[in-house]
Amino acid sequence: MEKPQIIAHVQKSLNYTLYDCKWLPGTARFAVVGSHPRGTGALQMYEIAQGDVTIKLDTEKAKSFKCCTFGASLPGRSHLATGDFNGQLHVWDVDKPEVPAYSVKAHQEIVNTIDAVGGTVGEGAPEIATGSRDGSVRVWDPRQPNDPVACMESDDKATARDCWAVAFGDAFNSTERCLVSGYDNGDLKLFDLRAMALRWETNLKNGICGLEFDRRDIPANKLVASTLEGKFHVFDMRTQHPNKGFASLTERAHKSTVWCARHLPQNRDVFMTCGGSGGLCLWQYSYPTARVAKDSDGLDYGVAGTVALLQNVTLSTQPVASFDWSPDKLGLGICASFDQCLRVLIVTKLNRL
Amino acid sequence: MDAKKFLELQGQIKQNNQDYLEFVSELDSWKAELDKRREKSLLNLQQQQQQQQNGSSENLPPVRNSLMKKKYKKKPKSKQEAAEQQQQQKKKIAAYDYKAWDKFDVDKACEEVDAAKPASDEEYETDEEWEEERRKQLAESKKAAGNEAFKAGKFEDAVELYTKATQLNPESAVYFCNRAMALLKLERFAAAEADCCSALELDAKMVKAYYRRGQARQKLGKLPDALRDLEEALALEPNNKALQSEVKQLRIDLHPEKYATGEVEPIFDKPVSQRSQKPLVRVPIQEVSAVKAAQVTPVATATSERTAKDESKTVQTEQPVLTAADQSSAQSGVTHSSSSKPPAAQQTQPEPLPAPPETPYQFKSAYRSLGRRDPLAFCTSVLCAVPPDRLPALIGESLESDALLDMAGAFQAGLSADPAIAPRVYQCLRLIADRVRRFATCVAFLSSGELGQLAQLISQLTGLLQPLTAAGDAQYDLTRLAAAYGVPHAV
Repeated sequence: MEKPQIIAHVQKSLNYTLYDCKWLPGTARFAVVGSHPRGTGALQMYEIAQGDVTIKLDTEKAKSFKCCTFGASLPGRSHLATGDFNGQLHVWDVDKPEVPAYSVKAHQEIVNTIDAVGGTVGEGAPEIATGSRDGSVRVWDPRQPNDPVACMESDDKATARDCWAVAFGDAFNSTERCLVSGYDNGDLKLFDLRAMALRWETNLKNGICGLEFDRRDIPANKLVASTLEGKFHVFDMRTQHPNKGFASLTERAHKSTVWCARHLPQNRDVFMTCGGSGGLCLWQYSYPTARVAKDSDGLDYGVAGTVALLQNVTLSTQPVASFDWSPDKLGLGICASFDQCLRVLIVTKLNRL
Repeated sequence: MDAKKFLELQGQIKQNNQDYLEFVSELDSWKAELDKRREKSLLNLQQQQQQQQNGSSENLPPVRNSLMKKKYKKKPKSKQEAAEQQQQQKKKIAAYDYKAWDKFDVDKACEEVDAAKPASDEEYETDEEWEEERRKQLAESKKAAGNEAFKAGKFEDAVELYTKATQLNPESAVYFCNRAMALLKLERFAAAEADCCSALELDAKMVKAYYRRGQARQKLGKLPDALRDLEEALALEPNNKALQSEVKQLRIDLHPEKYATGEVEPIFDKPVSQRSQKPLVRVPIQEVSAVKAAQVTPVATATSERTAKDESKTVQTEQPVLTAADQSSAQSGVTHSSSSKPPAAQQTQPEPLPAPPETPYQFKSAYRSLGRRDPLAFCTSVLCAVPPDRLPALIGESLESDALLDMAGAFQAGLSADPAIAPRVYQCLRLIADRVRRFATCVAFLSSGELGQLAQLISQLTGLLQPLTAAGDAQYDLTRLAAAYGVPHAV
């Protein structure tokens, strides 16, 4: 009972399918995107107020939205980048949502995943990465109109696997960026955007649904990859061995697809995983006594730590597709699940970890 | 369940509830605080944007990979070409076609994959818009590199980088203006002026360009044009303090009758660039006695104060050693004395004879003021004015050869003016020889020419005292005196 408690503070039932929800940093507001039954896109902004959420913005756009992020929003602005079912990337100013601030046809097929860095998180130019069912990962800069800044795709378009997850990391100064992408066959590829090279790749045997670095704006520390069949992997990204790659640990959870893993902004060793059975699990990672060891050839290799389950709770019968911690309040979070319910969660006792 | 455990459990549940309620109650105040912070940051951002005049994007690095690659636009292929290409593409061999697979050459296929080249370059043209953007980005990056070189002090490199920037983007005034600044630092003023002119052609309201052109023209000597440029700059930016002071200074220099207010700043407070360039002039210092000083009315201008300051400085730098070397050291010690305005405090009226000295210091100052200039006055007012037995004490501890010679000269002058003082002179010489310390060493260091002078004095004295010695006055033992002074004596 000393463990952190996960409490559903507000539960709001909506009339469209929710795909993604994100906090607007520096405020008590968050954005929710989804798809109306008629195939149009829903974009709403809510604000926490007196034990409930009040709606601040409610718009409907041409095509259903699949994913969104505030990461490329420069300080002082509220720019939400969204990917939709047609492969379009839009950047909306949520104060003036009539016309997008930036818009481009990113992919030929649905944009499955989006991540951004440089605006609210990290230094340097804001950049948006999108991954699509057409197997390509593209990086966009809102200052460049029609063309991606970088495009990672396979030569043979026919056999390219769907990209299901992307994540930025290693953005500790204005030029360094790393992008990791996960595919439906379990491929995990790490690209270095400054050197424009593939740094590492591996295969996790199950399709990768979610990827996140524990912090985007520090030299890469840990990476969590959540996959199908109830598994997630935690990689120690500090030490790369030329043959063995990065050290990792594997953990089983949820007994169903682990849809995403999200690190607590205030403590990078605590993260929440969302499962396909409607449950949420809170984990804490602990480092080994020695993170680096030498092998027989004298080369360094990393040592993975251990992860402990702090709390789990089942909130819904449908998968929880998306979860986001508030960067301003410790323990406040929102999650969106496929039962068309939006929940505001409070996780207590996190300051005593 | 155990009663104790049950109670514990109850306690825990209460605790959890409390945590939750606390959290919820904090939410509203947290929200209010966040809103306030956000408003403040928005205001700050607006202010910043207003201050940034050109409204350029916030110091972000250039778009990744934009400067490296040229983008190629596909030439629209004609339908025929497209059809041909399609036919050429090899068909995949079906899995059940065993005969085709028998004929399949693995090595050849591998080679083809290895040798697969991207489509040949002739098919593509560069996209013009893309090229232009790329050029502009490159120019900006050259300018940034130029700024870095400028800050590091490498002005030549900075000029080169700015030149490249102007070649890439000849429509931006900023690069010309920056290059002008670097050229100013390299003292290439004509080139800097030309660059400023180009910058102003591109952007007629560029304050920095006017300012730098003004500076360049000043250095080239085109002062009226420089003044016009600086005034233009001031008109564009009236609140700039540096500009205001420069314009004021230039106006005073060019039209002193209109602008100069007659105020003079003390030289030590003026910056080096504004000090007079005229050569230094030596100002001879006149000692004034205590009585006379009270009568002399101070000249009521800053100049006399300044020269008085200088005088006091020169007095301090002189050393109280009775040597001829004093004069030269005093000269070198007063290098910072200004001389652009002639010393108004030069006293031209004949000064009164000083009172007979009573201390060695007074004797020394009297010697310094009179000893060389007016040996007769020195003799009458000093050497013979004091009681003879006081004279050795007044001369003090250190008698140098030059001083001795000066005194001899003074005695000679006195004797030729007034022969009656001959006994007095004999007494003085006698006492100097007997009582002044280091006298013997002093005499020993005299050169033959100097000894000759002493011999002259002795013989003059002998001649004057002749009648008395002849009369049998044994007081005057000139032979002994001559011996003491190291000169041969012929009666």
